Amino acid sequence: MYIQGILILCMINAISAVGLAVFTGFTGLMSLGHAAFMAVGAYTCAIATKTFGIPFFIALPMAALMAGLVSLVIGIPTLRAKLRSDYFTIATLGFGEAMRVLLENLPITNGARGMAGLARFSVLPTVFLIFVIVVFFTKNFIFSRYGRMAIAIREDHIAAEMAGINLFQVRLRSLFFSAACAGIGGALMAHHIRFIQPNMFTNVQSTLLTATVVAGGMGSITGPIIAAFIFVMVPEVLRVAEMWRLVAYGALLVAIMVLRPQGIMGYREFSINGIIRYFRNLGTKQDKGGTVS
Amino acid sequence: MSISLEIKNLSKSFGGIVAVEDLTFNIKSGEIMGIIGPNGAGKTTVFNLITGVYQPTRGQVIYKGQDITGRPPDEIVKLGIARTFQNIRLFKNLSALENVVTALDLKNPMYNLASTFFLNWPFIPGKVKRGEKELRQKAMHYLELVGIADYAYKQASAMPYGLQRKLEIARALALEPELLLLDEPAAGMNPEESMELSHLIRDIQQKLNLTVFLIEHHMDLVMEICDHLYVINFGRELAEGNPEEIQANPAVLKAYLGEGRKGA
Amino acid sequence: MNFSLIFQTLITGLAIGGIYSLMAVGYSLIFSILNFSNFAYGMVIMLASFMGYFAMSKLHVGMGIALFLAMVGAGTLSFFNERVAYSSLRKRHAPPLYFMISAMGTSIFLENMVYATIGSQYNAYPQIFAVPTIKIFGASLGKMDLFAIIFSIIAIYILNYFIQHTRTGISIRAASYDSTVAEINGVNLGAVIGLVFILAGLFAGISGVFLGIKYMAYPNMGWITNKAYVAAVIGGLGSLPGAVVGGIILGVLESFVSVYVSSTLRDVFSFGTLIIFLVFMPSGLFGKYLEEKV
Ligand SMILES: Nc1ncnc2c1ncn2[C@@H]1O[C@H](COP(=O)(O)OP(=O)(O)OP(=O)(O)O)[C@@H](O)[C@H]1O
Ligand SMILES: [Mg+2]
Repeated sequence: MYIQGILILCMINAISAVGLAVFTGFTGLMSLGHAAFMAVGAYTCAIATKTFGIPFFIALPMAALMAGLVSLVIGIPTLRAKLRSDYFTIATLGFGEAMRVLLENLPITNGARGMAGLARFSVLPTVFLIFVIVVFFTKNFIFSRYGRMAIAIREDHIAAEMAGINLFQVRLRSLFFSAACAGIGGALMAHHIRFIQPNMFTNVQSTLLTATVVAGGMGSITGPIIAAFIFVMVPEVLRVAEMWRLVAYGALLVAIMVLRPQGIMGYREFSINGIIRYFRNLGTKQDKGGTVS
Repeated sequence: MSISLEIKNLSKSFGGIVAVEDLTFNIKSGEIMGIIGPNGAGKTTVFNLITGVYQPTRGQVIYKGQDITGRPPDEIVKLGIARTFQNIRLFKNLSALENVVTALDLKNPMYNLASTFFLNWPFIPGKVKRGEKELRQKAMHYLELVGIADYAYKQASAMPYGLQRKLEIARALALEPELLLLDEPAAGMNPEESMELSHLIRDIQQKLNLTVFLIEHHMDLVMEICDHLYVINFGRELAEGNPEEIQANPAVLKAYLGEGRKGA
Repeated sequence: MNFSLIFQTLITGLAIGGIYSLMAVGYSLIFSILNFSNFAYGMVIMLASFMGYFAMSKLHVGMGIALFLAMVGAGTLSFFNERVAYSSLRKRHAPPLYFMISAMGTSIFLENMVYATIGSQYNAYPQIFAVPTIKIFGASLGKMDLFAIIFSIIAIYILNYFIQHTRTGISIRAASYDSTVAEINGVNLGAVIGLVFILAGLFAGISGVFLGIKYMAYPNMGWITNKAYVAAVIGGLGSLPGAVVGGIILGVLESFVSVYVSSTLRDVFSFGTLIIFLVFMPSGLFGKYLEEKV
């Protein structure tokens, strides 16, 4: 039971992290507001199932959709304005804060007290199935022309535009996708812990999600999944108190940036294909020597 | 010959600095036009204004009779204008082949979003996988065209500098443009290499029936391949004509000798 | 409409606006030189607020000395923040994203360090004035608020003088205009950046103590220290006059919104303003928004 709980948490975090990886890792924009999308997903699902008695398997896609739609509220104006990346990050941070304050003050969310007594829908097989589906979709998305457009933007957004890529559209699509994943993560979380409160979705939560992606490697899908599992398991196993955990995460983030900014996996994927490609590249590695100057 | 691109009274200032002032010129379809001028004359800025990277302060850019002033870059590319960059802007962490494949998507969308989500199963060949394979073959063709097929699987940033410039050209060609803008394609090359490049540009221009507009400091290359030249200095028009006329123009000589000259 | 209520709301707004200005000045100083958003700055302010609290309630010193100690402490902390979390990124010319992640890491680290070692409780400063309010035009005004307004004005004036008229100040301005060019011209960039972080820390020290006196000292102060960048964005990131004006405008607007609209919606209003400015006026009232050079 205890092991199951940890596995469920790992996969829930991995779902949100994979979503954010599609955004941050593949379009080069950092969000510090994704906890807000988790919150939207969690509340949508909780209200749908508890208040309106809608079945979970319908409520869950609703949660994803709602989180995605809410992401458009912040995404459309900021991405259309093509804000500098740091201004965008500040905007998402502000958005996350504003959303939390709203949740604390809306009647339907029961304010700061939150909602208790939610049904336990997030059992291991369900979570596993959803995890697999999300990873499958993500992988298909990234290794398609749509993912390629996002990667091009991360690599050089001006060259990407000059390759006919519509910056706004691609970034918004990635943001929507990542918000929907965060929404699913939030919804599963709500029906795992069976209690939600606005202050579970602070910017610390957003930052942790970003930390997972960064630690795993911006530009990788498997990296953030591995990182999500490590981030949940290690403190659980060591039974570290919540705040010391956060102290360690904070120090870890700084250490990664200072020592190994490419994260665990860098731009690579943990896969058979990747290993094959690695060896194929070795073949062409012998350099022609001096560059032309 | 019809007109490909018309520039009318184009001006751009950054804060107080006037980078480009009241330029007017035409590029005819199928010709190779060169724009030259000392460092900081505003050549790259002209490219940025044509391709929508910057918004002009005044003036118009008309492409095949259509006013494209101030349109975003991705729309301008779709209309058939592609470019390379002076300070190479490749997708550094991707392979040469992937750089070209990215550009191919524009004119060759092989599948839609729904099919990537629902039809792309592991180990099962489908529309998505077929499309990807076809794109790779096409991309290889462009790498061959500029002579860097051997580097297809090499990471772009690990390629020699001169070949990175060629890769930029291949990527631009993959957009299937009618008008190609080249910003100092021979920068950093020695005289033989730049001569070889000029032949390459000529060949490609004829094979693909392109109009070419290029910035270059290597005068031998410019005089060799340009049908027509436009000279600017301090953002303003200095002279216009064919290479012989420009070489004999006293104002041009003065600007170049007075300012010193880069490259060579 | 009641005149004394309006007047009181205005003074309350100016007092909190003065603190916002102090915070925004520190935040903007760092932005102007490193061109990134130092999210750790808020936690430096929070720690300064604790330093002031401990000085006054445990060491029983007066407010002046507490202010001084908090400024020294926050200045030191801010300096080491740069050396540990940013200096190697700067030398590598890392993208702004990395700076922000490192800043966020520092912020989480500091905040939770306080939770883990000091605890989450609210710590009230000892009373400073025996009679805390005075009556002017029928409005009862906090003496501390008036003091904060005056002190903020003086501190900002001194900083401005320093930056405009001293040699070191000129180096700072040169480095914030173009750090590479400044370095070529003999500015010791490492030293200037260290100094900027210390200056920002001094402002964090002052604002931390004032915030602590007003709202108590506790680790979860991020909701208010975040106003530093809201104010800085309104005024224009990287602009010092902008930071001052932005802080005052934000303080006064918030004060009126909480009195005349709803105090719970105050923060939604602030962050909404932030987003509106970022989208429609990214250069704020006084800043410059540079077109990327291609
Ligand atoms: N984004 C920008 N912001 C401010 N000034 C700019 C910007 N882009 C160009 N400039 C200025 O405009 C002027 C013209 O620059 P431009 O790059 O067009 O020159 P160029 O002719 O291409 O020079 P070079 O031969 O060195 O490439 C220069 O003074 C340059 O500093
Ligand atoms: Mg140029």
